[in-house]
Amino acid sequence: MARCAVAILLTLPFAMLLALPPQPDISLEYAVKATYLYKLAPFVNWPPGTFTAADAPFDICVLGTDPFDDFLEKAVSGRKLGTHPFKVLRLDAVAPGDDCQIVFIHYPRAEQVRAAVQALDGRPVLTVTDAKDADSSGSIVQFVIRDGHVRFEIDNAAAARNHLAISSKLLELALEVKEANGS
Amino acid sequence: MTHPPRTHDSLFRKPAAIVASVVLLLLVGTFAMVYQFHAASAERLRQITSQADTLAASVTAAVSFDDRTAAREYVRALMLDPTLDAVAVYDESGHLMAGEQRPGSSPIDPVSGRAERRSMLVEVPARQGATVVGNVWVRASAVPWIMRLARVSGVVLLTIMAVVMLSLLGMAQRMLTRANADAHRRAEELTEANLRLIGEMEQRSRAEEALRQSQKMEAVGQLSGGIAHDFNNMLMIVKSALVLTEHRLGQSVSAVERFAEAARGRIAAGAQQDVSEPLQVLEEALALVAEGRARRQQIKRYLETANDGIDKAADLTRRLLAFARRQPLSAKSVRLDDLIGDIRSLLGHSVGPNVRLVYELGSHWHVFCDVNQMENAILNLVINARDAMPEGGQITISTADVHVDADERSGQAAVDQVRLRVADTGTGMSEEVRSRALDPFFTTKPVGKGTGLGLSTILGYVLQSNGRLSIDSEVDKGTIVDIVLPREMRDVSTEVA
Repeated sequence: MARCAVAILLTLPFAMLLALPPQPDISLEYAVKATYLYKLAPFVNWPPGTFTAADAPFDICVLGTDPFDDFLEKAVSGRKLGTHPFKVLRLDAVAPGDDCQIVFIHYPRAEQVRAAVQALDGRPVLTVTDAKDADSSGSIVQFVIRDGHVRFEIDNAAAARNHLAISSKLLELALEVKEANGS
Repeated sequence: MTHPPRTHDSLFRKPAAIVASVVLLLLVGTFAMVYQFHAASAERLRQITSQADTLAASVTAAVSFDDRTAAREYVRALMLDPTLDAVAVYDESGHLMAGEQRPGSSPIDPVSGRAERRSMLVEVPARQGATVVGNVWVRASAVPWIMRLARVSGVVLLTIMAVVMLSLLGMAQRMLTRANADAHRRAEELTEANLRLIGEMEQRSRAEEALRQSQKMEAVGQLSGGIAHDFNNMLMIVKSALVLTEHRLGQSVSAVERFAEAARGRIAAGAQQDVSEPLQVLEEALALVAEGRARRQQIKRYLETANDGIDKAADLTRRLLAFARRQPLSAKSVRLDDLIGDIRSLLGHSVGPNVRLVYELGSHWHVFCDVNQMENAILNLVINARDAMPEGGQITISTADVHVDADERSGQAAVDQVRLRVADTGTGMSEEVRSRALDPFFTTKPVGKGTGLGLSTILGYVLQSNGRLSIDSEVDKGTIVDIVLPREMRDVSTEVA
């Protein structure tokens, strides 16, 4: 709880930026994570053919239970990656026809998360999970809370499997990077 | 000292050109300096912009994911460059992610920084791909004054050196021009002095010539005067002897005549008394007397011839004396026009039928001179003129009153003069002859025709009368002889013995 309080204190500028009314601690954490989701997009080298058209939307999908309330919509509102406007989609399950670029997987149980990640394995999708859900969820980006800050770990091998190249700048910022050779 | 205007021009024009060059040089130097200054500033701006770009590129993730520690590390790394004054990273919403500045410097404030737009403050967006995630600000430390100066010192030094060299050049040229003008002036002065010297030498040589001439004249005059005087005395002795001889001859003749008269009376008386014998003797005596009378007539003729010769000799000596100015003049006040009028008939007889005499008499003033000598002089001049015209021609005798204004330069006071001119249309004289015409015993006439004393006697007389005589002549054009006498200001009627 104290950790959360620090997080609130430090992320207060973001909360104010988003002009949010006072919310429970958990909401503020996900407000930050919501902004991080779309901010990850420029640091990933998306494979060619990701977008069908120049103005095709950049889909950010939330799989499972949605912890974001309307933070995510507010965060991406009016924002684009290049010519592609961000768009938020909520999915109940992974389907082959889904065209998501970033998928935030949030299930109450770790097995569900791992299953969802595995379902997306090999597709050009940046999978993001909360680290607390599982140590080895297999997702590419895992959010962790460190010193009251929302930080992340990156599984570069998973990214490679999904044909995504993560910017070294992002890797440098990650708390931990798992490389392909399993280190 | 007056310099030629050209020198003034060159003196004036060239420094102006040099001043213009100096001004131009200074302008160019200033321009180069400013340009270099600006170029250095632009270069510095480019440099810090690229540094900001580098930081912006590397700090994007830290900005995106709110990692202030990482952002601060990047900023610190950039701040290792000592020429940077301050570095700041702001996220896209304008919140400071990381900022560092040198001690004493103010932190970068994006609001006032944008307004301030200092030349050495740059702002670049931090982009990840096409997405702007924040802004990076970099401020360069102010370049020390001495460093800026050092940057432009090359141009400044070159300009100063060029200006100094040009100035030296200008000064040198100015001095050279001045020296040239000086030399030119000196050369002109020298030329002038040389001309003056030559003129003075000529004048001196003329004066010496005149002095020699006058000394010669003096010597000749004294000599001839002395000789003439003694010679005249001797002539007088001979003359008186002749006179006495004639007188005595007359006396003896009259005694013989008286005796012969008495003898004739006695013969007439004795014839009646028939003394034939003594009468015969008497007859013979009478015949002797008659013969003596005839002889006496003969002697008388000889004596007259001798007298003539003596008179002529005496005349010659008189001329000599006049030339030597030993003969006293019996001067009086006279109008030359009157004098010439008196001798017109004489002059007319003298020139003969071939020569026309023209009178242009226009003098009213009196002169003080010896009338006889003056007449003599005019007669002589006319005869000379006639002799110069063997083919005939015209002699013009003119007189005029001349007023000569005062000449301050030679100190000559104003003077009234009467000029007598005898001009002919004859053969004239060469310059050589003219220069010797006044010498005594110089004559162009055949031996026995001229004494060579005519003109020199006239000169002597004219000088004695305080006058001047000049001859102007040209071969085949004629001769003009001028006699100028001072005006006689005293009472016209006064005569001086």
